Formats: sequence, C-alpha cells, structure tokens
Amino acid sequence: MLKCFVDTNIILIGALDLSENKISDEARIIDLVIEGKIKHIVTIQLLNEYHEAAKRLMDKDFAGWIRYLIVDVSKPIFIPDDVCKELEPKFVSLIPKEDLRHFVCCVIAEADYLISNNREFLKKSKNDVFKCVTPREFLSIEEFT
Amino acid sequence: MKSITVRIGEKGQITIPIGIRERDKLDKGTQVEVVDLGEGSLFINKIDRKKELLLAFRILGKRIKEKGYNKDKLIDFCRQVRRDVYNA
Repeated sequence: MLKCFVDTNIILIGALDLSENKISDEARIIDLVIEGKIKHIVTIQLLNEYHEAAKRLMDKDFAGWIRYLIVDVSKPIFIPDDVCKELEPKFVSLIPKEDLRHFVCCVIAEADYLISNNREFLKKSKNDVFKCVTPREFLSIEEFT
Repeated sequence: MKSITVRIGEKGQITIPIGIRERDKLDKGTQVEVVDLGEGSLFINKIDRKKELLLAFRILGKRIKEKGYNKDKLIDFCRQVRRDVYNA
C-alpha cells in the first residue's frame, strides 16, 4: 500500500468540499485515507496541526474528537519525535524549519508521496526518494478504483 | 423488522443471535452504543467510526464555509497554523 504524508491543507480543503458534496481531488484523498486505500504517515507535529486548525475553526472538544477519529480510522504510520530529531540536522539547511519534521518523517517512513497544496513546501521538499505532489498530480499518477 | 427475545445474563450481558452478528459483522470487540430510550426500551447501534469521521469532516467543512474561507485562504491559514504549532 502507498505510504503518504497528507498535509493539513488537504484535510481542510477536503472537508470544505465534502460539506458541499463536491468530489474534489482533496475530498478524494480524504476518502482514500478513510477507506484505508493509502497509508497515512503522521507525527505529533502533524496531529497537533490538525488539532490546532480544527480548534481555531470550531473548538477544543471538536478538535480532540476529529483528531482521535483520524487516528482511530486511518491507523497511521506514527513516526516518533526522537527518531525525527536524529535525522533533522542532515536537512536543516535545505528545508524550512517549520516543515522539517514533516519532510524527515517521510524519509524515515520511506514514503511514496508527500501530498500538499503548499507549492513552496512541495518545491523545497523535492527529492529523489519520494514524490512531492499536489492532490491532482497524485491522482493523475496513481489509479484507484 | 424482527423482534428477538434474549435473556440477560448474570453480569448484564446479552447474546445477539449469530445470524444478526454475521450479517452486520458484529465480531468480538466491535463497539456498539446502547441508547436508553426510557421505560425499559433500549436501542443498540453499531458504532461506525468511518461514518463518524466523515460526519466530522462535513461539520468542519460547513464551518469553514461559514467563515468565508476558500482554497487559497485555507492554504495561508494552514501555513500560519504550521508556524504557530512549530513555535509553541
């Protein structure tokens, strides 16, 4: 199964589209995560981002609920902070500091894809090990039934 | 809809007939919620976390819409969240 980092912006844009019954690329990525068709890679920092974004938009209780559900349903590959910290110095000069943990967790998990709508993040994360793509690019490369 | 009679065991356990368990994939460890409808009526519902998560996404999406965010604004919003979480 493909191992993918799914950025926070995918979750929020997908949620917006799902609420409007739009089958957008982001909504399809969410569906793939929920249905277990791709394996989601997470760190505490990514889960905290999901939580913080949901808290700002809704409230703390909702944020806790949705974060719990994402983990419970997707059964992600969890990369601990201490493992990431060991590898981060290698990439610190290449990747912006706030993106570094996400990039490194993909390296450690031997990710197939890093999926984001943040063009700057994608550009700086470009490498020969895993593909850094938008949801549209991801869905045009991989076929899901 | 069919009514089935079962007897409550010593520790309050009931046995759901095998046919229903097989049909609804109620395996050992499956979580169910028991809703107290009052006056001795109980409603048993299989918990479906996938449906619950989908519902949570829809609720979140509705709020995002109410707040007037579009795709570009959400990308900026997430950048700010990332910086704040990193600096926390």
